[in-house]
Amino acid sequence: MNKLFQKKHELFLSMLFGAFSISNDDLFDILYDFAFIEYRHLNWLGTKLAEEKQEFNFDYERANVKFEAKDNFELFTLLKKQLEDIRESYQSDGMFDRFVADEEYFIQKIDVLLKNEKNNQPITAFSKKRVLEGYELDKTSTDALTQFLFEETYKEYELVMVYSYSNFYTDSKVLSNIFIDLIYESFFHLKSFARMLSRMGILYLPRQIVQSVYKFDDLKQFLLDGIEEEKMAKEECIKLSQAVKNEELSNFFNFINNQENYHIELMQKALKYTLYKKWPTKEA
Amino acid sequence: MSEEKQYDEAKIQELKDEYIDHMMNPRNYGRMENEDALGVGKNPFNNELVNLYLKVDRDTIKDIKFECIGCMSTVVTGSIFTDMIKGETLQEALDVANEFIANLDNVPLEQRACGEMVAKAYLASYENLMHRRAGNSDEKEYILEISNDCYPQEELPNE
Repeated sequence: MNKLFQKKHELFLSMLFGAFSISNDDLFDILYDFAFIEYRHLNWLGTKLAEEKQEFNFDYERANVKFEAKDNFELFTLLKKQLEDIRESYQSDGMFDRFVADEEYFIQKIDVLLKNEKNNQPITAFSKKRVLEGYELDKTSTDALTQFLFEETYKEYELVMVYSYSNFYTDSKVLSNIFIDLIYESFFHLKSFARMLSRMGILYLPRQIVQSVYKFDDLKQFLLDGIEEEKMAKEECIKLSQAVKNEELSNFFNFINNQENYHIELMQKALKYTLYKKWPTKEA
Repeated sequence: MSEEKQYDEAKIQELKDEYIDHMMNPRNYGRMENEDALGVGKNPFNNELVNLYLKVDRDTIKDIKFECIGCMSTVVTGSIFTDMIKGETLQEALDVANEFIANLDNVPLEQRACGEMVAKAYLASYENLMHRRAGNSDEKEYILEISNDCYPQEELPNE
């Protein structure tokens, strides 16, 4: 198993969920951008490893994913340490040089942030208070929202990883474009749900994905299952939009529900493609 | 509000907090390398499953891990169940799993499949361990299917 891929994935998760944990929107934007660049690194690395037929996984012990902190400075320090530690794992070529250059900048920016005491605010994303500030939700609505956010945050993380993995192994432009579209959509949902969990004090790191979920052989079955899951997600959004008894939140979940329609269309398009094309893995 | 009602509400809140804690930090979650046994509790109706890995020292469960394709209820059940039997003897864990299955009728219908998948995953891991100990080292895993279908809350049949 490729250890560098694991380290890069750990760093991506630390940066992403660290970003989600921050209350200040400007600071969130900075870390979220860094996390997205780390995701791009992970993609380049995954594609390279797939071409070289090297094995790599998303499921491993999570001890090195570190983002839970009591305040922003503690988080920045944790992230800076992880950025420094990964450097010794890089070789020297164009792709790794780019990783180094990006991460040098992240460290410089974090150092600047650490110099301004105003950037140090408490992190309340793990307080377990279960109150969404600015919304008056009764207990039933809060419970429904909590359950939904836990289920769907994992699901969106799983989709990002599964489509990314599938994309590493496809030579088909049509399928690749569909997977990339679905990845961006799932990223948006993941961000929206995880930010809500953070505001409610119940942010968590989604569990590891069982290998058979992302290392599948039957693309057609994967897409058929995915379409069913999207339909269920739609139902959950509709149920929740009715249960939360809050117009703004209801509108948001209806908006997410409508986005799921297009995901289904994209997956049906991919399904059509598999009817006359073999699943084009790079290993084939 | 009466004292009794206050106590009930406090108890419910405590249970909710515990449930959320297991969702945020599931115990013993993940894949195990070089396990002594691997059991699978599988739902044949929707392909959800629980993989349960054991590391044993003679007849004691030294380490245990589980992973699942399923919902949060399965994660929470797996987290609580594995925490209960870690460090216990294989027989004590068998007793817990069998009691779990015997009491499924008292569990809300929408959570029965999750509970059965977890308990059966342990029973299957026990079978796998016995087979491996008997010399069948080729048996990578043992699978037991569950009998309860998974019912989302809105599709519950009238009982």
